[in-house]
Parts: sequence; C-alpha cells; structure tokens
Amino acid sequence: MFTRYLIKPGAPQWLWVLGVIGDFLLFGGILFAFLQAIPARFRRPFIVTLTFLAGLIYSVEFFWPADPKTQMNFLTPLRLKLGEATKVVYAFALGLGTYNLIRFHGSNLIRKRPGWHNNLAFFISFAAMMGVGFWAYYAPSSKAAANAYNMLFEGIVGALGATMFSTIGFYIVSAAYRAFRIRSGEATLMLLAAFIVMLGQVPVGAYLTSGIPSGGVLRNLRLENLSYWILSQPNMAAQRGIWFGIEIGALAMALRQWLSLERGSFFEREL
Amino acid sequence: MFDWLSDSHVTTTVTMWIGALGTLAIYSILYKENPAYRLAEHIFIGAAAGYGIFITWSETLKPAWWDQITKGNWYWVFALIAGAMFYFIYSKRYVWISRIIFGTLMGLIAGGAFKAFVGVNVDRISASFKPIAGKGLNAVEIANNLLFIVVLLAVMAYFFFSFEHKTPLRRAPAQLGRWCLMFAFGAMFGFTVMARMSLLIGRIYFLLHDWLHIAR
Amino acid sequence: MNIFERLQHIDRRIMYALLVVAIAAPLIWRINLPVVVTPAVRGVYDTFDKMPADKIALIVVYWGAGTVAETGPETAAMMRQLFMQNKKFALLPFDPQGSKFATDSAKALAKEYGKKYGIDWVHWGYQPISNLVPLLQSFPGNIKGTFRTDAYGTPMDKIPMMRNVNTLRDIGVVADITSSGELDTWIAYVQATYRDAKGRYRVPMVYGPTAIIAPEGFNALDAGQIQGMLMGMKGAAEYEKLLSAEGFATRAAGALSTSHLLIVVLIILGNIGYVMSRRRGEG
Repeated sequence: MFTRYLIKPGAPQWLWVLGVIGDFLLFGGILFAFLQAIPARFRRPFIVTLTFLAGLIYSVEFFWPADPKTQMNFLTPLRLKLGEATKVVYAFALGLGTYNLIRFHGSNLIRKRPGWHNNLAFFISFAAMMGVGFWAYYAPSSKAAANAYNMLFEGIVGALGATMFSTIGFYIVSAAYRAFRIRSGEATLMLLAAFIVMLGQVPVGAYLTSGIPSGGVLRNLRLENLSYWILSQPNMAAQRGIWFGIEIGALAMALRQWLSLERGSFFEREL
Repeated sequence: MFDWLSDSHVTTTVTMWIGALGTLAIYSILYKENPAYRLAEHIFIGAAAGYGIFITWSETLKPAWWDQITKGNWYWVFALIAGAMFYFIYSKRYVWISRIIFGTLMGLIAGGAFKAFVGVNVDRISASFKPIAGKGLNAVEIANNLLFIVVLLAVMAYFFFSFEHKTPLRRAPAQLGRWCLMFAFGAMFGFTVMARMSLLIGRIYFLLHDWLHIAR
Repeated sequence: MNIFERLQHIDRRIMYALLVVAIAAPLIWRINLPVVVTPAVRGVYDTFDKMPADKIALIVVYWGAGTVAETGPETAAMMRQLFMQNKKFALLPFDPQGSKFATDSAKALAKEYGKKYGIDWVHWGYQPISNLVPLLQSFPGNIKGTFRTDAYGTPMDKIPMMRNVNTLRDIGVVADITSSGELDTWIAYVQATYRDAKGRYRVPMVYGPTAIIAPEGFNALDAGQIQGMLMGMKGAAEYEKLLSAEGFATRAAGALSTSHLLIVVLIILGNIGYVMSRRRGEG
C-alpha cells in the first residue's frame, strides 16, 4: 500500500526503503495472521496442496498440447512470470547460509573459544569484501574502490579458492599410490584403463607412441587414439547405462517429492 | 592513508603478495595442521561469503527486484515476503511456515522433472539403437556399435536389482557389466587425476610466474 | 623393511615434493610436446566457425575460483575465437566468482582485439543457480523479458548488439562451461524443447566441462545433443592450438604430462612392491 499509493517513482531511496518495510510488515503481518489461523491439523494438507499445485503448473504445461505455430499453450506465459519471481525469491535464500556462518563464528568469538582469532578474521574479511564490493559498485568512478575490490577478490577469493581445490591434487597422488593395487582382475582392468587414459590425454602419451605410424590400422595403438577410443566407445556405453539408471531413480524421486510422499525434513514431526 | 589504493601498480603487487602468502598458508596443511592454514581458511570463507552477498544484491536483487519496486511495480514486495518465509526455519515454533516456501519451490522443480526426463533421454534412448548391419557401415563402425550394445546391456543388467542374480543367465551379464564398469571407472579416474593436476598446475604457475617471475 | 615393502610405503611428503618438482620443472624450463587435437575439441571449433555472423553466441559460465585453471582457459579460448572471427557473444554466469573471472577475461581479450562492450559482447548479469530451471523455461521465448537489463543496469533495448536479439532463434551457439553437471538441464529445457521443422535441435551446443565430468559428456556427444566438447585444461590446450594462440593451457601441457608420468611411475612402483612381497610371502 505504501509503495503503491504513497510513494511515487523518483522519490528518494530512503523513502522507498521505509515504504518497502511498511508494506512488508503490513502484508507480511496479514499473511502471518492467516497462516497462524490455519488449524495445526490442516497445515500438512495445506503444504501438500501447495506443493502439488506448484508442480502441476510445469507438468500440465509440458503435457498440454502446444500451438504448433507459437509452441505455446495457455500456461506458457505463466512460465515467464514465474521465472522472474523465483529468481528473486531464490536470491533471498542466500541469507540462510550467511546467517549460519555468522551464528557459528559469532558464537565462537563471543565465547572466546580456542581459535577465536580465526573467527574474528572471518568477520573482518566478510565485512571487508562486502564493504569494498558495495563501495566499488556505488562509486564506479573511484579508482581506489575498483583497485581495492580487485585486490580482495583476486588476492583472497580467487587465489585461496583455487588453492583449496588444488590441494586435492596432492591427496589424489598419495591416494592413488596406496589404493591402486592389482589385487584382482577387475582392479587390473581398472588400472589399465586409468593408465591409458592418463597418458593418452596428455602430450607425453602422444610422444611415447610417436614411433607408431599415424596411418593405417596401427594408428589405433597410438596412446592418444586408444585413449580417445576408450572414452568415446566403451566408457561412453557404460556412462549411458549408468545414466539410464540414475534418470529412472531421479524421476521416481521427483514424483515422490511432487506428491509429498517422501519422508524427510518436512513431516518427520508435528507441524 | 588510503592514497596507495588509487595506484594500480601498488595494488597489483599487494594482490600478488596476498595471493601468494595465502596460497603457501593453505599448502602448509600438507605438512601438518597449523595456525597459518586455519587463519587463511577462515579469511577465505569470510571473503567468499561477503562476495556472495554483494554480488547477489548487485547483479540479481537490485536490477530484478529493487529497481522494479522503485519504478512503481509495488507487487514485487511480495517476493520479499516469500523470501522471508525461508527464515522461519530458525524458529522452532513457526518452522512450518518455512516448509510452505520450500515445498512450493520443490514442487516447481519436481513438476519440471517430466520435461527434464523426456527432454534429455528421448534422444539418448534413440541414439542407443545403433545399427550393426546395413549400407554405409564399415567393419570398424559395426564392431564399435556391437561393443556399445553389449556394454550398455551388461551395465544395465548389473543395475537391475528387481530380481536376484541367482541363475547364470542373470549373473553372467551382471558380471560382465561389473567388468565394464570397472573399465569405465578407470577411465574416469584418469580424467579425475587430470582435473586435479590442472588445478594444482594453475596455482604453482601463479607462484612461479606471477609472483616469483621464474616461469615463462 | 626390505626394498619391496619400502616401495609400498613411500612417505607422502616425498611424493608431494616430487609432484611439486614434476610440475615446476616444465613450467620453468619449457618442454615442447605435441598437442594432438581430438575430434571432440575440433567439434567446438567447427561449431563456432559455422555460426552465422548475424547471430550471437551465448557463453554460460558456471564455474568459480576452484576450477579457474581448467574452465578459465576454456572460456577465454572460446571468447578469443569469437573475437577473432568478429562474432558477438553474451556472457551468462551462474556463479558469482565465475562472473568476475569471465568478465575480466572478456575485457582483456576485447582490448587485445579492439572490441567494445555493448557492440561486440555483453554481460547478461549473474543469475543464482537455484533459478536455472525457471530461467531456462522463460528466456528462449523472450530474452529481454527475462533479462531486462545487463549486469550494469542498462536496459537491454539500449544495448546495440541486443537490439535484434529477442528469442532463442537469434542465438547461434550455446556454450556451457561448467564445473558441475547441469548440461542436462540445458538439454532438457532448451535443446529438446526448441527444435526446427526437421526435429533437430534449433541451437547447436558445445560443452566445456572440467576433466572430472568430461567422461559423462561423451554420452551427450554420442547422442548428438552437443556438437563438441573441451576436456578440461588439456582440451583448452588443443583449442589454443587450433586458434594458433598460445595461452596458459598450452604452457601448462608439459607440466600436465610430467605430473601424470610421475603418478604412473609411483603406482607401478607400489605394485612392484606389492606383487614381489606377495610372491615372497607365498614362497
């Protein structure tokens, strides 16, 4: 109501903020009161119905015949509107993870648990990255802001993020060394495939078998060709088989979710 | 005090050093657990979380939501109300309200599953019917197609758990499928190694080339 | 402990040190080994090559800092080919970090090739991955209705290269560069939904996964759902060879070779120790 009738486009930002807060409290309060008025025994059916109706939109839109010329049916325009709305709603969910982080690190910091200085470092870097980001965004002409933003993004987020993932490279070497033992025929076959692909996919494989002619039947014994054949033929067939199994399971799971048959975080206790 | 921030040369150098020292701090875990690693880890998590907040606002919420409201599309306020429902998950008394929004969104995704299943698999199923005879096929293609059919059926037989693999007729294809799977897993492992090595090479290249200038 | 038992229990710190040397040495002293272009990578190059100049490419970025060494060169190589061939593209990131990396890469390449934002390339703005499915269902029929503004708040109608880009028909190639497996979501909601009169996919698609998920991509490649695929950093090196433009991936190919060779040697040594120990034990 505030943003519809009282505040017009062109009004200062702080007025819009107040208006949005006012509308949020007003409409949110009405919705909250309505939801609280629902008797406890009707809450589960209410959620189940909403879940079903939400799924019905996309599934009916898929099954309903479409106009051959426009490829659309009567539900297709709703897709566009839903797409825009859910994009924004999902974005608000980001706060869930952030709240958890703040709660966890804040609790350690307030209680001065061992290593609390690390939790303090978390908050400093959190505030710094967010602050510098907003600074660069709202002061696009400021070189200092742009440099500070790049400094923190590339120096911390980019560099440390990449490093975290790269440590697995070390672990995979020691894990492969310890685990790959030719204890059985299957293990030997797995090892053989791994060796051919590992060497064939990198230039050294082409170098090692460069003496084999590149024409005729024998070219298939060159590591790079053998490796590609393994990937595009037997591996691909096995991936297809695995994929069909996964897809059938996923479809069954989706049906169970849609019909709220799945026991899980929704209904394991009284609502 | 912050005049140096306007100098790109200085900030580039500082960025390099922050990245390099942070990288070495993270790698110190390979020797053993230590305070430098823990500090670097927490700094990274904080910066990544802060960056996520900023980018969500600047590239999604502001253009798609806030700017819409300030243009007069007041009904977008309801998106905020819907988004706020997520946060009832933290309330023991009102947690059921969060189930409404979670259920609705999961219903939307589940409803799209039929389309996803048909869209992805129809072409893959039809592509699985490979010709093993006919004009235009040479011996290599026929052999590859036969191999494909055998491997596919064997792998699918392995995952068919509706009946026990008691008789040789059921056990043999499943056993062959197992062998085919091990072969495929070996190939997948080869790629996994390549992926991890690539990431490691990226970081070592950064240290040697960008920081120490000893790599070309 | 005899030699064969020692071979089974090499200290991990020695292995880590050897790995660092195996990677660092080729980066410092260049090793020139042949990079062989695979048919899958050739498919990516040919797909962009055949794209009509009046359409734009859509480069979907779903990777972050963790995989920048693989997907960064893939993204850069694709953008490089498009700039080289004077073709336009739009960036559509689903990862906030990837958004920044890809944008920086595009800006650097645009400077190299004298290209301008809004005329030769555009950024459609970061989209949360949780919104992937609704987005894929809405944008093919109405791009400007779905993405009202670019990443910098400029209305799409005001961006020169977007004036005639309204639906999926105006997109020539979709390139999915990713560190996770949402290719099938694109295939289901975009490729399979929008077909031409002969039932073929309207828009060709190419795939740029990390090497971990590349084996699964052969599934889609065989079914004709994608026309080409880069396989991690090695794929990017092959692509750079096709473009005759040496980038990070080409320089790193030597290090990739030596590191793989080291792992193979270590596994062989471990197995020699294992087999000989077993024989001695049985003896």
